Amino acid sequence: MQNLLVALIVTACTGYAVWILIPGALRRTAARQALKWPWPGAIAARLQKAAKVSSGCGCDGCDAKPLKPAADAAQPIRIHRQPKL
Amino acid sequence: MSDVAALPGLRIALVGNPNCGKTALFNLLTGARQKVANYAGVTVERKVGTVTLKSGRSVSVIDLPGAYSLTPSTPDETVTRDVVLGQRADEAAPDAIVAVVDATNLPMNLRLVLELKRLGRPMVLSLNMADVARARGLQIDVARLSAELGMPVVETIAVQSHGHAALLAQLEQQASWPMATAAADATPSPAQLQREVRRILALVAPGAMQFKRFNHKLDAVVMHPVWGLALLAVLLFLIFQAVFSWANLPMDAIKEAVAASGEWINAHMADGPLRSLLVDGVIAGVGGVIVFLPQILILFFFILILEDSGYLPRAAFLLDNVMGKVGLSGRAFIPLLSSFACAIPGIMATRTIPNWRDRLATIMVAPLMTCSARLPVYALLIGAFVPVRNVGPFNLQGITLFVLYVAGVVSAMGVAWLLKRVWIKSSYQPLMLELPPYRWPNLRNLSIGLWERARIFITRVGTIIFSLTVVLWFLSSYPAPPDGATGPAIQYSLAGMLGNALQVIFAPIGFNWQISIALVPGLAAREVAVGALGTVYAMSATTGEVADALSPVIAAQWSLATAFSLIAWYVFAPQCLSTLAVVKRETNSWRYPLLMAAYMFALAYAASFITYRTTLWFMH
Repeated sequence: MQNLLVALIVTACTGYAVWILIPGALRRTAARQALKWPWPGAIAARLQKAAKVSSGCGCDGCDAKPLKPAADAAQPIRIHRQPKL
Repeated sequence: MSDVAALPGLRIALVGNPNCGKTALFNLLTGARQKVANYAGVTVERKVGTVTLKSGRSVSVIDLPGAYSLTPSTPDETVTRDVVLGQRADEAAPDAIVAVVDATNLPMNLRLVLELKRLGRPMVLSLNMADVARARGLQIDVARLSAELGMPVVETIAVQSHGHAALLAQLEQQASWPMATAAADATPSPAQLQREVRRILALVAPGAMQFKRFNHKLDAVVMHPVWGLALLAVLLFLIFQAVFSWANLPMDAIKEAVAASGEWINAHMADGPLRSLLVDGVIAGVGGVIVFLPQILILFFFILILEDSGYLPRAAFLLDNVMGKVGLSGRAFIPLLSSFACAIPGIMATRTIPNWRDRLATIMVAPLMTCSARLPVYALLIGAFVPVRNVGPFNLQGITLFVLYVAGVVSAMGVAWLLKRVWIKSSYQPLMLELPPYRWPNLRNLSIGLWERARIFITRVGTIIFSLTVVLWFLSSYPAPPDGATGPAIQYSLAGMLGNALQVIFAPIGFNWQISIALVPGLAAREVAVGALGTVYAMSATTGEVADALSPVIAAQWSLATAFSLIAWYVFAPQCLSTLAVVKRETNSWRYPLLMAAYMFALAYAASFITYRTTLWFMH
């Protein structure tokens, strides 16, 4: 019995660790493939979330789309004279 | 009610200048717990939450980064402009705009409102911090302001539990908001907009132009080039003293609870693999990490107070000179400071830096700042190898922790200096940052902030740290030792073989095979290394002493040179995989995260080698 429980726990933990640590693009592809199968509601919802581009990625989570690097242009500072009232 | 509830869901966007209270209002409206602080640039990405009105209508609320105008100068302002104008590929423009303004800073805030009005969308003005303005004698004729702007105006107090009641009432009547006509003429210049703001304020709040937001006497000390720096150093020093001095009692309580649970399982469960998994894997590993929760909370208690008080941007100005000398923008201070919590929000916060080269340099050094995941590693090693005694009135362990944090900062500055001279060259960008007024830290913000830190830490312990500890226990237990084996079983396991293989690389810097194993899961999250050491030593031990406490075991088995070498490794340790993923996303290239991983590994190895050899030389 102990052996069976250990096998279940280790398998689940390995699956979770692999799922979390694989690159985001691979996880999204895997989630989209997995969604073709019938899953219980909670698991399906998690898979749908994982299949979207906005995936959590760290301590505080982050859901941005990639930003292109801005041009390396210095920002001019304009000083406006205070108009007299 | 049913008629209104049948209406399609409404999407509103909270738009306003930085630090006017948008995110606090967003949290109040939606029940979210997004980070709030008293300085500009906390929110750098759009966040969406939902509120259901009394009528049953659902409203999606979009919180946006602060912007001074719809002509963006930084990546975070671009996000705001794109969402408001409906220029994002994946979403339409919001149905209505809630323009949030700081009632104590109307001359600055109303300019953006006039720009937004020209878009011709349904709008409502949220006059936030109206209580502060009123308490300090600023009279605002709300009805006249509404008439002048041609939109409903409501007073809000985003830090009070019912401070959004008037805004909710307005959202119920959204269908009746006047629809402004989109302006067809040329966009007015900032000077023209400012002139219009002054005209309106002369009518509705004559005292607004002379309203004093700052305490100049206090700033004369806090921002003094000498006394200000001294004050900053003393503040940080005292914080790290408190981390060690105040945490003892709760840490001892957690340690006892962890030890008691191990003993209870040993007493009530038959010997077998499940008992070994629970005691040697879960309790020795996860229990060894969770014990550091009080220290993390004490550190963040002080950081949150500094954030909420308005002190941090002043520290940015104080350090602008230093930042400029190493080639970083003064704006890099806040992202680097955010990296003390975690490098990921720090790297995302670099979106407030307009110049790409300055931004890239800040991203490349952000992981060198000491993130909270390193704290358990430092605390374990300091607790094991630095004696508990006072140096004058100060705790030696606290001084050591302070020195390690300073080492992280100094190394970040050194690397930035080198990068800006040989690779990412750019000229000095003057620091332009809006100073917030001082405020007493808000108890609600403080509680939410601490709760969030605790939740994040416990979630990590319960998910990724737990999973990796279980996997490591499995790798440390199988295959079983051959018949007649004399050493501990772990030496014959997969983890033992991996540790011995890695030791070839790490032996020159004094790491044994147990440390070499712990470094591998430490790549997923740095604090996993502590849990991994707990599991590996528990599997190597013949009694249950490691499940009780790892610290005395490593103190007895490691040399001082090895401990110092491991500390030096973690000052520069290659960042976790999540950080690399975020760097890739923020820079749109694999080149930068790979370069980052390579230089940090080289730096960590070199620092550990020098530390190990120097300590050995001193010891002999």
